[in-house]
Amino acid sequence: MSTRDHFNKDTKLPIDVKLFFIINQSTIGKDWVVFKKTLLADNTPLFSILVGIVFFAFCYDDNRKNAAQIFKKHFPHVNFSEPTLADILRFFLQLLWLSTVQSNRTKNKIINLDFIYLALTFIKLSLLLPLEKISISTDRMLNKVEISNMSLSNKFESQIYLLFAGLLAIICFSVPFTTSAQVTFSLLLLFVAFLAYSTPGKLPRLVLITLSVTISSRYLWWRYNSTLNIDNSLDVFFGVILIFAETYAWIVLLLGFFQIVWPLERKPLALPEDTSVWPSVDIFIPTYNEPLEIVKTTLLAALDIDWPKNKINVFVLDDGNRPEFKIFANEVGAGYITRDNNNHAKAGNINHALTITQGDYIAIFDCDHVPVRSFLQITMGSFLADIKLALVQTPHHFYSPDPFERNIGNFKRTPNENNLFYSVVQDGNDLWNASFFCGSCSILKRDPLLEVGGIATETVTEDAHTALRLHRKGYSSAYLNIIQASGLATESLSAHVGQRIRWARGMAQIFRIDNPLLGKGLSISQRLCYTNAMIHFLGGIPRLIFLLAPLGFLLFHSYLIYAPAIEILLYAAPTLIHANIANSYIQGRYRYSFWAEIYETVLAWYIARPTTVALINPKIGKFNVTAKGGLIEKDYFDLSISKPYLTLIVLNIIGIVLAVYRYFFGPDDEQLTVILNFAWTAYNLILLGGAISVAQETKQLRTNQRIEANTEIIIKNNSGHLFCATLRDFSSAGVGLYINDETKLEKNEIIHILIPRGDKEFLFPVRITHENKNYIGAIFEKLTIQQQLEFTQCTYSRSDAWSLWNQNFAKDKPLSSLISILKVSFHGYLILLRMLPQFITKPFLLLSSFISYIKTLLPKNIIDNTLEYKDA
Amino acid sequence: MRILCVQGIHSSVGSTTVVANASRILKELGHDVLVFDLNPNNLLRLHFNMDWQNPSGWASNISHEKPWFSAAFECEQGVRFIPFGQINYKKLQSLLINSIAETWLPDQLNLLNLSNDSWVIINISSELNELSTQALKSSDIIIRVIEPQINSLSQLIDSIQSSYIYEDVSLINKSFYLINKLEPTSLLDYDVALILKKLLLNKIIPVTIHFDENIKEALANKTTVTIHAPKSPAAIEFRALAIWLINHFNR
Repeated sequence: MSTRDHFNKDTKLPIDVKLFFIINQSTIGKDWVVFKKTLLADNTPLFSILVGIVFFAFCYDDNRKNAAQIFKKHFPHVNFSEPTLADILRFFLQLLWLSTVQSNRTKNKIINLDFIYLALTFIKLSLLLPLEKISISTDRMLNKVEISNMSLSNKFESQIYLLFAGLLAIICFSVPFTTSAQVTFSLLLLFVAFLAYSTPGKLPRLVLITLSVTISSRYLWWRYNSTLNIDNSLDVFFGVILIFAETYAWIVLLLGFFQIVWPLERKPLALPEDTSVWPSVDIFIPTYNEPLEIVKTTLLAALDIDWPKNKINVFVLDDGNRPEFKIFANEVGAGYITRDNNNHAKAGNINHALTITQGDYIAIFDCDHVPVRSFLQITMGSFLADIKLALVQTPHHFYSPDPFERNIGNFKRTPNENNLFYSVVQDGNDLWNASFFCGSCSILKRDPLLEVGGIATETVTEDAHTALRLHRKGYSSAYLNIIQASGLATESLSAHVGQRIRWARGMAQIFRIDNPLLGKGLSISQRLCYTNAMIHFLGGIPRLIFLLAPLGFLLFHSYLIYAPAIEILLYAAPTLIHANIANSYIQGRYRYSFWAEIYETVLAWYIARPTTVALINPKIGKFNVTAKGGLIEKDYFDLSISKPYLTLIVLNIIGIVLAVYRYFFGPDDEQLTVILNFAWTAYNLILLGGAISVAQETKQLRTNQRIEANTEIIIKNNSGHLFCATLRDFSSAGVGLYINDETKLEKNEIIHILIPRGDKEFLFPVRITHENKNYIGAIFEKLTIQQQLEFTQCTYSRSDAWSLWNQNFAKDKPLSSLISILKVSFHGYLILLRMLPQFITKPFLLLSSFISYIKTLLPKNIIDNTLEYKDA
Repeated sequence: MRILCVQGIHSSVGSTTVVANASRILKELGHDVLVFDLNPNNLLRLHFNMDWQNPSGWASNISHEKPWFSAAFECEQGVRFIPFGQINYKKLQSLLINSIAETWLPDQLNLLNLSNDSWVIINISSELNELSTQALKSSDIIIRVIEPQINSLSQLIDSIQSSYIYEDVSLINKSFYLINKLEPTSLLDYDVALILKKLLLNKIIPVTIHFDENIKEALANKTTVTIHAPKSPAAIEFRALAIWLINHFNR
């Protein structure tokens, strides 16, 4: 309704508007209507209309028009339509705030901070600019050198260098320092690290890694040499446990640096013009118990992959032996393969299919990983260029939030757990020819695969094991970091944990029965990469040790690190800081600082036992399928999965209490040690709070996860009118649309949507299920198979469908990352509080609601400085 | 002076609608536009809100021995247009024979003395006659409107084979094709459109106008869809067409 309608002679005027007309002030009357409409609700009681008129009357002529906007902007927390007494208080407090504090701040600056800021920027730039130049020129130089071939071309010379560097390093690690020397050393290194952190390029990356390796090695040297108290058996007991965990962490840190020191960032290679030399490809979609709805989309998308039609065959490998799958596969023209047993689960399923099909290459997609059209075009070029290549892997990408993202609520805002592995680690592995098979979204060459006996069946992580065997036979692998398929993330924390238990157990099994450090055929770098991939999963016990370590002192009064507190601080703090800086620099956009700690804390307890068991007896344990695409009907707290964290929390809280006790009632010379242990315990509690926060399962209502989109489309309604709309989200069942026009659509109306793809457009009938202003939700109205295929082509399998997803993340900011971790953790403790009996929680809840009420009364800062107070 | 000539590949493909909408948008974008209706069916005026009863136009003026340019109008949006005028068959024949000299159109356009960056959009009938041939020859660019229908396709192939327009190489070079009235619910339309695109390659304008009830309604309201339903896909597509035209001249 536009304002003009109010002055149509026929429409009934409200009394207050009439008033203005009576006093012959129709322009003011019009302004008043606008004012009322913006500020007040439709059915405002007479009292507040009167108040409104009073405000309005105070406004000057020239800004009467946008008076309401000004009010709304400067009193965002005041409810003008139904004011309570508190609103009046809010109004006056805000008025006071705006006219005193905020006006001073914006108008009369006492100190000109700009000058200081400029000076600081000048200093920073004068330090950084030369560094940047150096970094750029070394990058240019290094790009000319084939890093991976360097050691091969001149073995002797490089060994000399290595030896020399090793000697220097050992001196660096082992020279003892006095306290003041250690302080100077740490500060200098920190200074260099901060400079390097602000400079982009490969040289700063190497500098940061070197610094972190130096400092952490010095730390460990110091730990082994001077901090074990052999005189006290309790100290030795705890001390050895802790030093074991620290050694593990150090090895993983070093191997991790080695793995990602120089991500290869491989680019796709072009295929020859002549399509007759393109090889034939079989596409396998193994499934066991997943519903047809999920497999359908994958199958349709796989059929649409761009490749000569006589050289591509799509197969559903149905281990569930379900007739409806067979019917559907026949209907769409895909092969259907099943078998009479389920031996060796997915690996057995694929191996069975290998005996039936003949393609030169095998592409494997998990049944929920929808490939895009360009998959083979992007990946196959590498195979034709390198005959030794046996595997090309592409990232696993998820369009639905994983349990961390859903339960914490940071989907698409913080890089997820997966991101680091597929954006940095695999690319890093690729340099060392050690990128490995991840079970889906990848292509294997048939002959090498058969040579190693098909997919490995000895462990529950058949993928990594198969890749290891291929590497042992001298074949190479490639990783292309271009999202070419997208799937569903695990639906609940317990499913996620289950999946990780399987990975951890499988990796431990491989480590035990086919240890990458031993055996024939691998290069040293491949051995190191595989070892890190495996022992990474053994981190459960060390993580638990870290979570409990401060209790050794607080509870048992044992000196785990037998050294003065100040010395511990001087050695440990730089180690932690350097490791975090280097990782933040390298992992930047793909894993924010401190999140890894949360992920590891959640998994620690669960992977500790199975990995240990698998190391002792690798034969125990079975393959469990990761459940996907399910519903979580209401919010609930997964109590059973969080029991271990609850225990750890209780222990750590006891630690905190004891720390306070020891600080006040213990000996004076222990106070600093107590503070250190207190801080450590507090940090552990933050991590555990995060773990609790993840266990609060948020509801998920749709089986078919809606995927966000932003595509311009056209709608055609029954009257034949077309109008523009934007496709906001979609799933295989329906769409969400935003209508750019004022056009009204009725619920249950059947309309047609027209989605463009390349040169063409595709039409789909949908029925509107709900509408809210310009947003409408609609479900498909009986699509034919052809239309389902077309819809998949327009959405899931468009070549550029996912290309922008991971680009949105900003660079890591360690401090803001820490703050978000704190928030997540705090939220976790709130969840716990609510579960306690009411008589305990009630005072807390009352207090918290009282505080949040007081918060609403407080004045708000208005960002815009162009304030005009005269109307108020 | 940028002279654009719009011709349907056969009658009723919507060339007059294209002329009206393109001129409105060009005007909206700040260009100076003169629309010249050389189509005897005299329909263009309806898009510009001219009275149904008003018979005036350049042709009727000439046959009444008045100066033809006294029939120039300007619509509310500022597009200047010259309607054909109502004239019967006999008078039309004699007009074509007696009054239209071989270089009549270029001469008249020169007389107007328009500035260099103003647009002249000429609406001609799909059949060839003295007027349309002159318009085709003197224009800088020709837009030939086709419908994604079998008859359009057949007409197109005929016109290629009979060298209807292709005798003159300069005409080939400056003609471009616009697909109009694509019916979204018709699979056949899409197939034919695809064939047209394959056939015409870079000669096709990369904008397709969809068949839309809004366009019909606009004419019933004696206006163009760009004003009747400015947010409709058709209006947006005409806007894209205008941008394409401007770019074409800037290239």
